[in-house]
This record gives sequence, C-alpha cells and structure tokens, in this order.
Amino acid sequence: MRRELGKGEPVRELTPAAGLTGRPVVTLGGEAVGQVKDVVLDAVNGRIAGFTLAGRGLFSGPLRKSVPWAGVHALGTDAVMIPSEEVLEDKAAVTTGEEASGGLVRGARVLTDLGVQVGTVRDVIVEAGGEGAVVGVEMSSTEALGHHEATVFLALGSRPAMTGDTLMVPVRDTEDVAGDLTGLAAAVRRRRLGGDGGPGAVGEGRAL
Amino acid sequence: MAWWVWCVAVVAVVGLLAAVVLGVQARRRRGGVIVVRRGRRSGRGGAR
Amino acid sequence: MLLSQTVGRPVVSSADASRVGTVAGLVVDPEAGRITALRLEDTKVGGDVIAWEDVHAVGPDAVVVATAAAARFTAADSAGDQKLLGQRLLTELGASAGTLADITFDPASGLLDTLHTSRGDRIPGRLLLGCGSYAVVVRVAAAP
Repeated sequence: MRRELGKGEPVRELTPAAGLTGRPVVTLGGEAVGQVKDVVLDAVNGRIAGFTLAGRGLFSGPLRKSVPWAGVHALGTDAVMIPSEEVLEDKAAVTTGEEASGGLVRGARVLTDLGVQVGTVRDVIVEAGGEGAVVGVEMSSTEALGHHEATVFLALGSRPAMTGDTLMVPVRDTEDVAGDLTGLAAAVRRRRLGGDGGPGAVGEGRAL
Repeated sequence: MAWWVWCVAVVAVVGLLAAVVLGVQARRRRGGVIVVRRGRRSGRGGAR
Repeated sequence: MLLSQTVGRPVVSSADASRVGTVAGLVVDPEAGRITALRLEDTKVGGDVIAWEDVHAVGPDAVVVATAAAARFTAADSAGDQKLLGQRLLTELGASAGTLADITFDPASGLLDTLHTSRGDRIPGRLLLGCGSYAVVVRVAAAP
C-alpha cells in the first residue's frame, strides 16, 4: 500500500488546477514545447497524473504529446518547467487509466457520505510541489451549507473519492470550510498536523 | 462584374476561412481539469 | 564589460586590419556560463558567427579578431536561435524574473559575470541554465 500522502509534511504552494491550463511548458534549456491543455488528475492516488499539451501558435491545436507528473521539474506561476523534451510521452500515457471516467471536474457534484449534495465543483486545488497532491476543491455551495451558491474551499483527505461527475466527502469535513485559498492552506495544515487521516478516508477500499 | 469585386470576394473568403480556423483551433487548444482513474503507477516522484 | 555596449562595435581583423563586420550578439554555452562565439552582422565573408577562441580582444572601440579566414566562420543557424537581450527570463521553478536587460562578461576569459534583469536584479552568470528561443532560464540561488 502506498504511504499516507503528505502526512505531517508542510503545505506547499496551493494552485487552482484550472489556472494551469494555457500555461507554457518550458524546458530548462529555454525552449517552449507547448502549453498545458488538460490537467489530468489521477483519481485513485489523488494527485496530478500529468498534463496534455497544445501548441502555442495561433493556428496550432492539441499536440499528441503529454507531460507525466514525474517529468515535471517545477510548477511555476509563469511556466511549467520540464528538464528536457525527453520527458514528453505520448498523450495516451497520461490520459488513459483503467477507465477514463472522463469529463471535466468543473460542475461535478460534491456529495457527503450521507448522500447530501453540498455543492458543485468549480475547481480543484493542487499542491504545486511534491507529489502534486489534490488537497481541496473550490466549490459553489448549496443550501446544505447554509449559503446558496457561495464560493467555499473544502480541504480533502489524502485520497479523495472522485470521479468525473461526483466527489464524495465525509460529512464532518463540510463543517470546516474555508473562504479562500489561505484558509484552505490552514485547513490542510491542520489536517496534516492532526494526522488522524480520518477525513478523506471515506471511499477507502470501496469501489467508486 | 468589375475585376476588383473578385479581389474583394477572394480576400473576404480567405479572411473568413482564417477566422474560422483560428476560432476552431483556439477551442481545441482549450482544456480543463479532467479525472482519470489509475492505480498502477503510484509512488512516482515529480516536481519539488 | 556590458553586452549592450559591445553590440554594434566594429569587428576588425588583426591580420590585415580589414573590417569583418559588426557585433550583433553572443552565442553562449549556458552550462559552462561562458561565451562560445560572437554573432556578427554586415559581414563581408561567408558566415556570421566567429568562435570565441578567434577573438583576440574586445576593446572599447573595436573587437579585434585573430583571423578573417572564412573557414573559421560558421553559419548562424548552427548555433541555434539564441536571443539574449530582451529575452524573457524564467527561474527553474517556473517564475518570471522579467526580461534579460544586459549581461556583463569578462572580455578576457569570456566568462559571463552577471545577468541584469529588467527588474533591476543581478543574477550571477554561473546560475545560467539555458538560453532557448522562448526564455533564458536561471537556477535559483539558494536551495529551497
């Protein structure tokens, strides 16, 4: 079994995943190989699997290449850095899992383990360094959280149960929502210091 | 028809085509955050 | 010596005092942090790049090269597309550091001394990682 992701580790810079799309992918040699098209999340391990690429020209479309997370040198605010073009793989290496449960994360419903929909996903928050872990979601809340269509941030456990259309969270996680990224970082930090790993344990060993 | 009408027509058609291609390609370049399920290769390193 | 002051300077052959061309830019080896060649323009002879070993002196009024033999010149495209001044600067962590405003180099050894950014920062030349067609990439000084 894999080790518990991020337990006790400091929280690195948090980045909204959707903000990564369109960011140039640059080698350490200073050549741009393209720009990020899709941010592909690995639902089983709760982290970024990699990126698919598109060309940077006005007339260019999607590329057949992808960057697996292992080939990412750094996820910067202005560029995604890769050591060299050699880390690029075929597009299929990143996008196909056992099953591309597919679809954009945006708009997926957030369900508690009691079956209450507490919101819809606006974006997924990832940790820019380390293992590229998915640490939280930005969502538009439902009445169940008290405010209708308020933007709230919800910290996720180390292995969030998610598919392309549903994200399941333990109901007690929804009691600790943050209003912004800073609040989310604090919540993630609390969770890691707490170290019980309980939150997010829903769906553990259960088929999605 | 006067010869320049044909020139205008050709330029218009070329411009329209270019605009359509630009629009289509811009849409194809646009992506999003997608979820796939994969469990085989876990424990891979990555950025620091 | 500042690169911006060197650009445009006449290049003169020490063999026959003939004017070979003017300095257009540098070709650098990022890993070694040194200049490998001078890029010329307005050349009378074949290529427009001259190897650094053939540069005799970089003076305040002219650059003197040891030879004007065409054999020592290579075509510019063999050196890749290296735009330096004004090029986008990125750290290896993917953060922008402005653009490359100027470079100071040691005219004797060809070692790059300092990179001057458009934001007024100075980056030691040894931190240079890569010079590509998209960006100049520098290492981050302190290990995180």
